[in-house]
Amino acid sequence: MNIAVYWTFHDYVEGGQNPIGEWYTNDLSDAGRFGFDAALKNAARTKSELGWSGFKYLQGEPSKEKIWQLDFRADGRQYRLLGVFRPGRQAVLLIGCYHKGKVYTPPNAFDSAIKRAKAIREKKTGVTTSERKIRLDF
Amino acid sequence: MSERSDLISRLQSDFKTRVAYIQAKVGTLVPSQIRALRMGSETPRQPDLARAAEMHQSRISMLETAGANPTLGTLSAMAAALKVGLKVEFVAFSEMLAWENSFAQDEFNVTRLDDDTAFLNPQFKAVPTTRLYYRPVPRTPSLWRRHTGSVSVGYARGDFSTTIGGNVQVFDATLFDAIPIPFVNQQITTRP
Repeated sequence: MNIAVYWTFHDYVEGGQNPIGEWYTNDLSDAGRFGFDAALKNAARTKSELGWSGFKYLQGEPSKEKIWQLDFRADGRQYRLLGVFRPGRQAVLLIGCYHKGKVYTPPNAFDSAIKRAKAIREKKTGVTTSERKIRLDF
Repeated sequence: MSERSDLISRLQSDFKTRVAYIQAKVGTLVPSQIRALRMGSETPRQPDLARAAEMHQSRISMLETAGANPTLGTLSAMAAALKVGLKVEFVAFSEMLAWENSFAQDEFNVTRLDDDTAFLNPQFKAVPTTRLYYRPVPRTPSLWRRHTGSVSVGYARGDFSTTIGGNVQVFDATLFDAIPIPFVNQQITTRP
């Protein structure tokens, strides 16, 4: 049975640096990476973003840039991906973090997300995105 | 070494990697199933499910978040509140991956106890699942077909698609009663 894939996910890239890719590779444990991959694979096949598990649009300052969060748990930690949408059902991941209560790691995650969302919206020089491949072989 | 072969090697040699891998799949797909069943129910709000499951709403929200790690008791309570059964099964890794790759939250649904004729009426013999598809055409009853047995019914129109489960003797008219009004002017076709 062919499963419809509605969304593509993209990493924020600035000056050739991919902070999402670096976070994924260097900061996440195996459990974190597996959780991240599984959450994106499932979200990609769920047509409405409002149906994504752990999804919500942020309130306050980040709402001006229409930033959303996608939560998943792994390693006993609550991870949070912050992103924005682009036309054509593209979800751009701006930053990944984890939190305990209101303490976020990295602590400036929301400010960075706002800055990066603005940079995308304003098409800042050197800012681009890189599609994140959703793998079916593991 | 490729990313995949590195992973396979670690899965083969390391217990904790295997735990993390399994937990990620189950911890994503089970919450997604709960969410799909809630949203496809007659009372799709979290507070309603919380009341039925005798849980706080925040717990429902947590159970629907990827990575949730509910006990079998909690899962049983969720299944009971949603009026569906629960099957937990040990399988090969390949089967687990196939399960993940073939899962779509939008299409996931399960026959509820009140509609589960095969359970409520055991003399009715279930037959292998048949998948039915609809396409929008003028309503032409003479073209309707009659299906008997255990069926999984899918319907799609334009950019919308979902699946409703059934395990009942299905007549087309009954079927139309079970689907939203915009879908009534449709012909049933069976895709091999």
